[in-house]
Amino acid sequence: MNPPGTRLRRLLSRWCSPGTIERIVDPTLVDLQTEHTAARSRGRIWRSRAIIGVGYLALVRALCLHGFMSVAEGLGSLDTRERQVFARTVWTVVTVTMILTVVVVAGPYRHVLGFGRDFLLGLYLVPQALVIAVPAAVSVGILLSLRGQASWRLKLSVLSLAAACSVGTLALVGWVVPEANQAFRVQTWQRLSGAHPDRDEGRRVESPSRGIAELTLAALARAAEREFSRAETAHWGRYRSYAPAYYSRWMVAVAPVALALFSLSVAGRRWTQGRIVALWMAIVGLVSYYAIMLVVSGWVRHDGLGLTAAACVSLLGFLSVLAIFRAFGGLVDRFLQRAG
Amino acid sequence: VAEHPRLLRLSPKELVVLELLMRDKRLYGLQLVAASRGRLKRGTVYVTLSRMEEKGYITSLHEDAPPEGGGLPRRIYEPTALGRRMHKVFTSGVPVLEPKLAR
Repeated sequence: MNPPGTRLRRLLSRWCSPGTIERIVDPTLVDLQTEHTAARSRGRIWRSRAIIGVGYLALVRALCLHGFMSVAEGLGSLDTRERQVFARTVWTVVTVTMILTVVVVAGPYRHVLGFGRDFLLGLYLVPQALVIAVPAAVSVGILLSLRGQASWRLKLSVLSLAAACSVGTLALVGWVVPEANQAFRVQTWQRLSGAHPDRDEGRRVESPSRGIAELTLAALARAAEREFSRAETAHWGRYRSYAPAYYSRWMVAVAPVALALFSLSVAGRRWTQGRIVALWMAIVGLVSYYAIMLVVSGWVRHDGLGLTAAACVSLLGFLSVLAIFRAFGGLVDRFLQRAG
Repeated sequence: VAEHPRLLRLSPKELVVLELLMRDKRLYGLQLVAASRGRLKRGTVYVTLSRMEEKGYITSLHEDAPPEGGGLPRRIYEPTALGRRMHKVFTSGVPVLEPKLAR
């Protein structure tokens, strides 16, 4: 029988560098194996099983910390040209985010409220607009700034920027947007009904209750769980409403990282060197990602697909899109090489 | 030392590792965790040791015979001359060290 961790080591050796295997993975597994052998030789079977769990947990912690520190060191070790490209990427992402936010807010602001009437009410629309703008900006920013070959350090730095955007987007879709939505509804309702809690002290003034879009991520998770526990929902021709919303919010939060991966995989190609093609590729990435999200969300809503299965299907779908573009990109590159 | 043009620093965990290695000369990772009395964790000790090895504060070698029951050989850590000097300087209260002074 192989010592514990042998198969895991073989798996990790495909993904990690030899240095990481030698200095992090191997010593951690040696500790696990030594303690495990000692416990078994004393006949303490349950203790030996617990040691395997603790050992694997230690390995996960070590790899996470090592990965985090490598990213931090990677950012610090960028050369002057790479720093310029990274700064240009950040600048492009910020600029595109601002432009898209203004464009997204301007439409509803003009139609619903009348332009220029209430500037503060328009601010409640900004978080929603950011959720739409940030993933698109990450995709466009990378494809416009990283044209040509990029080192793994630069790619890692850009990916960490996308990860930071994902964390920010999660905070927005999870908590900021629901609160902003509710505040917007309350103020609009007060304006339309002419009621105001301060003015109508003697009269009971009720605020509009929260809809799905106004529930925080935690509240939505609880509602989705309740929905899944009612097994008959999918079978009686009714559809789920909380679970697809919960799934969609996570998909939107992950979008910056997923789209950054897509953009990084096509950014170094010969055919994406022009600005127009780069912009088109960004649009293709965005459309593919949101199309997968909508299709899978429909399966969650109507066909009773579980959330874990939905996440796996979405991941597989987007990885397939990535693989197609990598293969297609290779073919086009070879064609251009022969032609030019 | 020439590869580290910035000021040499020692994190609190690195100082603990050097302290233990100065006292016991050669230790395994798990022995370091046990001897540190909670100051080093088994999940992160090898990340610290790996960074210290890259900086040249410690060196490591595989033990001769694999542990009982087969498996991989253990790695033993010991301080280098730079590590000893760093420990001496930092325990005297200096927060950072010029690379040329560490030679």
